[in-house]
Amino acid sequence: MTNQKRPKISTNGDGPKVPRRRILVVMGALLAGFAVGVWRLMHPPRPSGELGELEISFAKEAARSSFESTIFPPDSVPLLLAVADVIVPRFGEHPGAGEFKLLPRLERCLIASPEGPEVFRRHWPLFEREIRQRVPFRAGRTDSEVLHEVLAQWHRDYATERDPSLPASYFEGLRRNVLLAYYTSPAGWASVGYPGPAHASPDALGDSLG
Amino acid sequence: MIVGAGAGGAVAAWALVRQGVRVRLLETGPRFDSARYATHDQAWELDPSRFDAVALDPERRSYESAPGEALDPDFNHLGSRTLTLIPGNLSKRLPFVWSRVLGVGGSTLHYQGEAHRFPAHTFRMKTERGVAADWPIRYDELAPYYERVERLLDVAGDPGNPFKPERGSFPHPAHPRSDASLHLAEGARRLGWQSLPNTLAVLRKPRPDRAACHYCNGCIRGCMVGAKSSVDVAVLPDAEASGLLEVVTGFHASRLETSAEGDITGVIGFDESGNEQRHRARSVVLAAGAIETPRLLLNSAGGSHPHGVGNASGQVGLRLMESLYLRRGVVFDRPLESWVGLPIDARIWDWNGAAGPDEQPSGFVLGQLAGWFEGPAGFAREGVAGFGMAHREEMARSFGAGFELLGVAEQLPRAENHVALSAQTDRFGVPLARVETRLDRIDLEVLSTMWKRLGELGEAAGVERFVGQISAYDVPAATHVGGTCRMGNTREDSVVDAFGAVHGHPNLVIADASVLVTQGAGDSPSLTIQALALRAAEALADRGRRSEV
Repeated sequence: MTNQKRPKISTNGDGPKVPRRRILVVMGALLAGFAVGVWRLMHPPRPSGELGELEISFAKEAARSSFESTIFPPDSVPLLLAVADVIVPRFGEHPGAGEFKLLPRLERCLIASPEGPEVFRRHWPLFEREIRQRVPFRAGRTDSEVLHEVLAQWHRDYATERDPSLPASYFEGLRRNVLLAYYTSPAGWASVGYPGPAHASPDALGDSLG
Repeated sequence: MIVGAGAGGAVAAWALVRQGVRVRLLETGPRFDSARYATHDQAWELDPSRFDAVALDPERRSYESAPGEALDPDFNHLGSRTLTLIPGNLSKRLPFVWSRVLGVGGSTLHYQGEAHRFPAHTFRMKTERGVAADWPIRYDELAPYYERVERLLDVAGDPGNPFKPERGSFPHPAHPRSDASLHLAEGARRLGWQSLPNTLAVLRKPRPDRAACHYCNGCIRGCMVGAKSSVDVAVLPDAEASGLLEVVTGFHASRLETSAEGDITGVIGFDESGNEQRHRARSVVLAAGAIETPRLLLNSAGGSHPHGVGNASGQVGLRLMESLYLRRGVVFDRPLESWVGLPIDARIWDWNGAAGPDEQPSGFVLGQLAGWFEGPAGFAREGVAGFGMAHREEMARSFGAGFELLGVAEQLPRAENHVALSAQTDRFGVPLARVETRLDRIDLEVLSTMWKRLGELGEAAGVERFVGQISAYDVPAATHVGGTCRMGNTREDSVVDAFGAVHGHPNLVIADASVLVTQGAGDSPSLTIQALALRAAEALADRGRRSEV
């Protein structure tokens, strides 16, 4: 992430000086990460439909898509899709929100939203930063349980915070629009047994959003 | 010349051409292509109304609203609060919003097809209830016109409604009812109330040029197959086929043209490019709605009518009646496929006719509506809280089991609720209308009664949970707005006579909701507007034949 680059750590005197305590913290984090990796090998992901460690293929999905968001930077898309998948997770045979072509549809929802796309564009960096400060997230993987807890707290906070620059309000807007984007899709319809409006013609049923 | 191609204007045009009168129908909005409605579109919830794009276009803004009043805390239980749309705890009433449709067909494009005859007592409110005013006509005088409009619109209904005046059969039998409607009817029965088939201007059987209803529930988004008798498909084609009707779209009427003697000689306005246009006419019918029609009269001030045409006694714009409505979301514990059916296929009229047990002079009707919960996206946001796996499970369990309970009451007319001219102007430099309306305690009491009755109804039907509500208490609506140029016998207390002619201007007729004296105890006003328009147009043609105009 371009806006999340950390300063390089150097111990040979060429780069900025880093306190010994910080080096230990970093090494500890690396060891913890290794331990988590081992734990993951021993405890494979739970069956779909439950919260748990989530294998995220969103980066690949985003890479395959030719769609370029006018709201979210390209390197933010994996995190955005991870959030979307926590909002609407996989449910049995039904995919989560992050697993189908969400972006074009979500973009359309945000553009038509009462807040307007500019609010989502402007405050995304702060929202992303707030998440990254709270949730371990490395290339292609995140901890959906932790992410869910963070988002749930913001969801609870929303009752008292209405400022769109705050993560709680930002998440509420995102939540509403991810639900709208997902449940207007064929996948969303199928997941609740909605056949669509009566007598819809096949032509009209074509997904105009691709 | 007719200004406005909605419910009243279209019927007036139809009636006039049948009398051999050549008519030019001026409409601000476009003629919509029904094939492009979002009714059956896979993404219909993403783009629910093609009409709003026109009506809400800031370039077309024609009114402003006074700030809402502080809310009466005694009635906080009526406060609007939904899971996402309205957070609740509003401290002031929101400003009035005119929920109109600009286009050929007007509000019939997005109405639900309700075709109600007002109850007989509503024409004699002063005499029978001691409030408001009596109309200059009785129900019996309007009944033949109701019947003719019902035939014109292919209205379907059940004549056995004990809360309505006796009548003959409808042109078509009532439509079948949805599972959700029948479920609610059972709850009503337990309470001793009657949920009865609605009377609807919706085709039960196909016509050569229109399909029958297929119960897709999408009336509000526009009927793609022409089953709903919006006037653009049910009334105007026949009139246009006569060769006597010319429909002009994109015309923004700004004022009436008058002679030095004060006679109405035409309509002046602008095309979309801002070019001023004049349409000369022997007579003019105003059918632009309860906000735009008084605005036009007031903006026509000058010469012999310094306060506006028809406004010698200052009556134009007074007594605006808004929509007193209440909607409560309910979710039941069984699948009801609430997305299927006509949106309001039944009504509970127990409080529509004679004064009810609550002894309030304002009547109301109750019913159900898919509303917010019609589609999966609406239900996901307004029917189920939160997110994540619990949200998904609840969606899978209860989608289709939720809908809205709906109540609509009448607001008694009061002079202080009114339409005047604003200091602001539109893009053509024409003063906007300024709408000032607030609720009185009697309005709040009838809303409160509806709130209780809807609660009882939900409980009796076995509601699992109530989810959200929205009401006129803090969110005003204009669905049934009317009364701003009411009819009466004298110019001292009204604007038009019993045939819709503006007092002192026999060649100027009003044929829209402006002329309503009362609101019909919660019934939908479109059929009454159309019956009055038919009566007014035929009277105007008679005056023309007698060379009185």
